Amino acid sequence: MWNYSGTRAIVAGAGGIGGAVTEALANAGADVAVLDIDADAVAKLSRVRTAEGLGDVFGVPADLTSADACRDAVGRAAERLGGLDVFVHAVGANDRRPVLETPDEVWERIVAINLSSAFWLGRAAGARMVAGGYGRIVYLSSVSGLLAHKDHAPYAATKGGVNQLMRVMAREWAPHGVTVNAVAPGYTETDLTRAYLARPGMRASMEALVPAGRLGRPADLVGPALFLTSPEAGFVTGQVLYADGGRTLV
Amino acid sequence: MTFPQRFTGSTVLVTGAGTGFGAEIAVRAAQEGADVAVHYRSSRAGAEATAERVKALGRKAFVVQADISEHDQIKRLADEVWNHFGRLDVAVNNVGDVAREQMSWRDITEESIDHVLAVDIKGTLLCTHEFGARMLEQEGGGAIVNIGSTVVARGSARAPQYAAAKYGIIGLTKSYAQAFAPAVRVNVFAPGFIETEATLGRTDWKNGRGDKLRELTPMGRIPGPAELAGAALFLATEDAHHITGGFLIADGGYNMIGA
Repeated sequence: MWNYSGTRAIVAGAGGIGGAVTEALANAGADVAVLDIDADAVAKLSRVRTAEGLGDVFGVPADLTSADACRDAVGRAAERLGGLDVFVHAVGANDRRPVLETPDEVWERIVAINLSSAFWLGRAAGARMVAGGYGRIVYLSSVSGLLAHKDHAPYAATKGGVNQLMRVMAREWAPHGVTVNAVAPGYTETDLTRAYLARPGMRASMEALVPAGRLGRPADLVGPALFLTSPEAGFVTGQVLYADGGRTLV
Repeated sequence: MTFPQRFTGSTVLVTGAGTGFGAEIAVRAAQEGADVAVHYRSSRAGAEATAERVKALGRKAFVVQADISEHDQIKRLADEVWNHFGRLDVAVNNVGDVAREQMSWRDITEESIDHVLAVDIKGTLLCTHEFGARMLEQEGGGAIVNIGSTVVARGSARAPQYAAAKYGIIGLTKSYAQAFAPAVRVNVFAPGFIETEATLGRTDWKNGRGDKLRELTPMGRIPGPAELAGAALFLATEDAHHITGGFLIADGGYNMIGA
């Protein structure tokens, strides 16, 4: 594990993956601001430094479906952190139904949560990093950004959109010492997927599609996400790193 | 810089570790706690120098020769490594022929095509096959990293056989990743241009190609081999335990066509 003491990080999304990445960054010494509309989830992650080498975690409750709220939240977080080195976007909502049964409001809600927040938060974070000449941005994408899962149209479109947003940011900010990459999980056991996996036979059929023989866990994404923020990934930019147990092979 | 210790107690084989990128991967593995098997074909002095660097770090080193364009020699290589260490946790298949002497597609020869494909595709495939088969038999499995190249993004007008070979590595990696899952993971690490001594010595590099490639790289520079060694090894660490059949480019954004 690299030493992240002195690293100032924002993690957007206090769910399973965002929470696991937050704890790993703080355990490695980073101070972390967690942005989420769910004040309880944010409060659960918050803590003050309990031992030498650990970072602080504090919450910044924010409605990430609002451009103004995203800008304000990044500003407040960066001010309290005293700067910004790392930004992780781990925000995702899904609503499973066929395209022909997807109403406008579902499409608009998923686009706002998954894609618009990626743009608004990434732009605000990137502005600070470009000005400072250094930064590491990691988006949590999904295998759905590549594969053609049925009943996933808004989710897949937004994750594919995140991949391209990430690449253009990577291109624009490369000369300024800022790398931008994505980690793409396969089906991961989080609050987002719990109800779906509880349907009869669903878990077994999903597991059968993963060469690793099991579904993903938030801990699977921690190593890849931290790698992309580490010194050794300084020449990696514009990439989608699939951490999916081989899901995209079959 | 204090490196994380991700290979404490592990054994790592790096093919083509007598010079360049392979040598730096071998040394970095040792810096992170591994004992290292240093393979070479013709760079015996280089391999021994790499082994000395490994030993200077307090790790064990084992030098082994083989021509990986021949299946029998790969089997012997695998047997020697397993006999020596008892097990192998990580194999980095770094050997590759880039047809360095060829300056234009017009200069291609059938002999060069055969040799590049024999080393890069057949050799990497059979190394993956032989090392992976043995890893499946041992407790805890293992991880294999095949060294590809960003050349797959744009192709190579200079040496089409090289680009074809590196595409082949993606196909064989995906195949063995499926075949070996979940006990043995197989991934591709794809660097862009690296300023190794061999690269810096190339006539075209000295005549402006280096500058041109820096211009085409969004990050605006070309790294040395030591800078990328840790990223290549990441794919073999526990941090990457759920990554298999994957493909990681580290080229400062050069692969982003349109950049």
